[in-house]
Amino acid sequence: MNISLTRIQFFSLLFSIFTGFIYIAFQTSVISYGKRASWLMFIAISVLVFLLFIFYEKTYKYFILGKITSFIYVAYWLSHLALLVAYTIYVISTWMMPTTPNYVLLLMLLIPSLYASLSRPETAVNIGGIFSIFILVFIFFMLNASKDFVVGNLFPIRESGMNAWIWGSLHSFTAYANMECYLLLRRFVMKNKKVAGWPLFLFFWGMFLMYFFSIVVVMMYFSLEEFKLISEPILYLLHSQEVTFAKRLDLIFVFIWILISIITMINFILVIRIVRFKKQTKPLYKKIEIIFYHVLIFVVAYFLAIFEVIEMARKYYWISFFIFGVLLPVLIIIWNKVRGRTISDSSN
Amino acid sequence: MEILSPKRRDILLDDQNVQQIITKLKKSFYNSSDFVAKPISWWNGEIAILCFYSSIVKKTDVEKTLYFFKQNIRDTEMYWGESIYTSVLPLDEKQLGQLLCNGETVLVRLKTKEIILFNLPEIATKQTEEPVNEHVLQGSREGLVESFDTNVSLIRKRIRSPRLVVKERTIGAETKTTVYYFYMEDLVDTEALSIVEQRLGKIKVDIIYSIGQIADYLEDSVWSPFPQLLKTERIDRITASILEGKIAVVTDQSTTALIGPSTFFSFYQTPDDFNARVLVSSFYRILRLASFVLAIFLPAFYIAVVSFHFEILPLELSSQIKTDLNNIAYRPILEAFILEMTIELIREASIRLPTAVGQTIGIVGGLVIGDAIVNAGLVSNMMVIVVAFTAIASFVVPSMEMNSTVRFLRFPFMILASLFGFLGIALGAVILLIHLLNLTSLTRPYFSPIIPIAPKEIFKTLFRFPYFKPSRQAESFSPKEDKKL
Amino acid sequence: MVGFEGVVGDIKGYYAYPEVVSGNTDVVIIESKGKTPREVRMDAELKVQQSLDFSMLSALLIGEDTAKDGLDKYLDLYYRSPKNSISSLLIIVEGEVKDYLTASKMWGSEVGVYFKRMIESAEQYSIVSSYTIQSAGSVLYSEGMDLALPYVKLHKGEEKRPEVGGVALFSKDKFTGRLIEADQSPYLGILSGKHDENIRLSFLYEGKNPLSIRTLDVKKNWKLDGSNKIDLNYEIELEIDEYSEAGFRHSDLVKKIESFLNKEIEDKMKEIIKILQEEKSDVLGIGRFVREKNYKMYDQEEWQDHFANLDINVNVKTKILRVGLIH
Repeated sequence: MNISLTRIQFFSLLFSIFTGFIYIAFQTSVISYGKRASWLMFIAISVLVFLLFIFYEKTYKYFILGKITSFIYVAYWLSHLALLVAYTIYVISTWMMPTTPNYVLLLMLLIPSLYASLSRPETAVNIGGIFSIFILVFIFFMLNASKDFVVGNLFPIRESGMNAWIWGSLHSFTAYANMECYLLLRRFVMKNKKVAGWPLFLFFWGMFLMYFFSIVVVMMYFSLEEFKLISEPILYLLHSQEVTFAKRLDLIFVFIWILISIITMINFILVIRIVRFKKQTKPLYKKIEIIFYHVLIFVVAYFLAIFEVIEMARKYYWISFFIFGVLLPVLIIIWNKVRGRTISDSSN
Repeated sequence: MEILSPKRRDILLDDQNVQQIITKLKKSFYNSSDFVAKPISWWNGEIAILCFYSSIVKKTDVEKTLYFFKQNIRDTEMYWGESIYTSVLPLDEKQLGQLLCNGETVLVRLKTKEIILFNLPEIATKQTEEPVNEHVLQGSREGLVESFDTNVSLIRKRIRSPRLVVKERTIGAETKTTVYYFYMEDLVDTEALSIVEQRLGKIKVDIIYSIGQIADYLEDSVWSPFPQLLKTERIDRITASILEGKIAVVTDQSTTALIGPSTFFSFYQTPDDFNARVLVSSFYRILRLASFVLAIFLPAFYIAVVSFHFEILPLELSSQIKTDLNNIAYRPILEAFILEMTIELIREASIRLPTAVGQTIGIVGGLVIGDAIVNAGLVSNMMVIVVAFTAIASFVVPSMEMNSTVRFLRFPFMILASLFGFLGIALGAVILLIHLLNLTSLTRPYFSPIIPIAPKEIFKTLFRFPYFKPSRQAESFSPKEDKKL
Repeated sequence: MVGFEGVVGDIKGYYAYPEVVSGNTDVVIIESKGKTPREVRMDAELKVQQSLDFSMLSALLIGEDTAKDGLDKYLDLYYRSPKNSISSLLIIVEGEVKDYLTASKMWGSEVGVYFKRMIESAEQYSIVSSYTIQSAGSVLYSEGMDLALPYVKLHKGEEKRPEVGGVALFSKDKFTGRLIEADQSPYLGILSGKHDENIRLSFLYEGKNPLSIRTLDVKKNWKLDGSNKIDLNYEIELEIDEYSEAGFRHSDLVKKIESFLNKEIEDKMKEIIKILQEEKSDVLGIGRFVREKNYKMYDQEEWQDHFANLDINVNVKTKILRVGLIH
């Protein structure tokens, strides 16, 4: 299946895939391991990742998925998605609706995703543009807490030792965990649009600013010890804010977060569709396969929405960045470069 | 109908024969009382039969033209019978009925087996007046009428270009309704045009009652609650759409035109926008679009907050609401349904009210709903406010069809909110959005310019820039280099 | 509004909430007992017609003895459940908690708002600084700073009206039992450098003339001097609020008043710091400052003791910017 993307659509898809499920959660892992200098670590890591982006921009032509690699990636994406969906269900049932049974919440997430995935791919491409704007609402309200900020929490940076630097940096990579989607989607961008250089720079550093802002704000508001207790700092921050027109601000934000999660999920399924349905298979088989994936995610996520599983996932999430985001694509790129095959050669 | 071919070689007919022919003719037209068949004398002693439906013919002008003919024109010239109103055709009895039904006067010359057609219909129609359902503050006050010539003239006087094309089609085996469509030759979306023609050709029914039937055939998705073709009576809207490359389909049975392909946002534009100031009309346009969100989500939001998430309300408001709600015997969803149904009934009734009684019933309705129902303890004050506000927000839409869509869409959301709270609203909103993104209008994306995302076009939809230039709707779901005007 | 007293194992709780009786709201107070705060709440639920909704909580009153036992045990229940409102104010009260709830019923029209408004108005004059459950928790869990919660007591007399008594000092997470009285606590405001609030102070100039000032801006400048000495320097810009004699046209009167004020304010501040060091309560955040500047000097576990032995110097420089409408 072929889609054609403008730069704006490409970047908004990437933005939604990167920040979708992780935005409210990654601060805790970074800060609890990285301690006081976490924000510096994050900057350092982002520079590295930016270099990786530039590398991918130059070599995306060589990223071709054969049968085995497609299978690995699809399996990885499905399990990854199941974990993320389980996490979202966990957040919803903790913060908003403690009494609703898990399977109802799962249905709520999966039904729109199924509907969108059974429609044409352009629906999935464009739906992100509308709701990604809501993340800005998050930022605006986080600023509302500014009178409680303690800038001193960010210093001194010498307090973090070597151990903290290593682990903090490794966990910072979770913010960029879906790197391979860049390679995958890059070749669908319309040919005459330039992506390298200034647009990529703007996109990456804009995304970085969003992440960085959340880390800095959260560090200034909470003291270090509290991070051992809180797992979604942004939501907790909003929970403690008081505005005149609404008492529980975090409810509204969990509501917005649900919308964003559904859209991210639709985008993930889009990526899976792109990889799986390269050849023109019959529409009926495609539909059955998509329904099957959704049922699979439903079943797996239902059993994963437990506190222990989530905590374990938090500890080891950064590994997926390295294996599937860096190692495997680099291998594929080198393999294809040596053999001299590019995208235009193969039938993909 | 072999009545008009007398077998006798002698072509000069005498009176009795002619009377026989006339009687048989009248019989073949079922002795309809407005059918007239008269013998008149043509030149050189010839007898011709004049047939017409007296109810749809402009008799004085026919008389004048006949006189003119009799005085001046001879058989011997080449195009002796051709003038603006008249033409000469060979006699074909099967066509006679249709010609007469179209308002033409037929003069049958039995001698030469020719008919002379006088095309001078006088079909009852009303004057152009402002469409009742589409008011504007400034702008033209002309609307379509039920007559082909008048409509086409109203449009042609606004687009004085030979590239404005009018095409006709006759649909309906019994009613033989003329359906005609307008487009600009070099601007039109050619694929959409071919789809319209294809679908019009596929209509094989006997009777066309109204334009709604044709809309069913032309639309892509009949089951969607959203209208895919813009219905309007205003001439200025039709001409603006034609100049953007759209096609307008009209019949002469109703004053509504169908315009396609259309987008969701075109339902929210009025000619007022372009007649008013830039900043002011941009503000009002955004207000209108916000009213869509408000009209659909407000009752659902209220039900969700009151049933599940009352923690959101600030302290002062919540104590007020609590006091109110304590006195209501049933759940908020039932309360909402009672009130919504009442408003819908009032709305339906007010369409059919005779104007004499309208005012009184309006007051009674207001009093009953506003005051008495709250005092009786059936609904709470807050609910009345919410429902009234929603009703006002939903009437802001410039198009009646979209208005009923929006009013209808509230109900599924209210049900979802009462079952699942905010999560239900989120779910419903996403499904609605996906549906809109999928919808096509004559295979063009309905939710353009949001799909495919074109930020410049989105700005143009929300803000009214000065020095207005028309723009084209996106033709496909994938971004391509579309033709610019 | 909720109040606690007693210690873990034997806690009494008081819950005040509005009840709708035939169209009017009436304030009802319930008493309940339990071993843990959650159990106390469950006990209260048994006594209520519908169920208590804690998201509208506006103030949490804590008895002195509970506060002396350490706060975090009691507050955990508020952090853990999403339905609680952690933006409600924490207040320490003297004596029996029940009296205060009854008082709020008498003096205030709506439940809970009485204390909240009282503390917020006191905050505007820098007599106290308000803490929500969230911000109190943040300070409790952070290093280098101790809590200073508002303290309310009942006015002695027949009316039994609650009044702001001052600021309750905490060391680590336990209440020390010592207050800084309401007439001294504005100096605490100056010391901590919160210069966006009006601080009004009154003196007797030369023993006889009333002199009142209002601060406009406080610039604080702390310096670490060696390993055990800290200089706290303040520059206060102020406006004269009350002065009974005329004569500001002569510039040396301004200077005289400034030097008078310097000495007065310094003395009062030194008193307060002495109290803080005696109680080992670092409410100014000196610990945070030290941690930022000289990490090695800061030792988290023993900071309170170290703080008690620090050599702290206070320097105040006042500057009169305005004198009001008349001279």
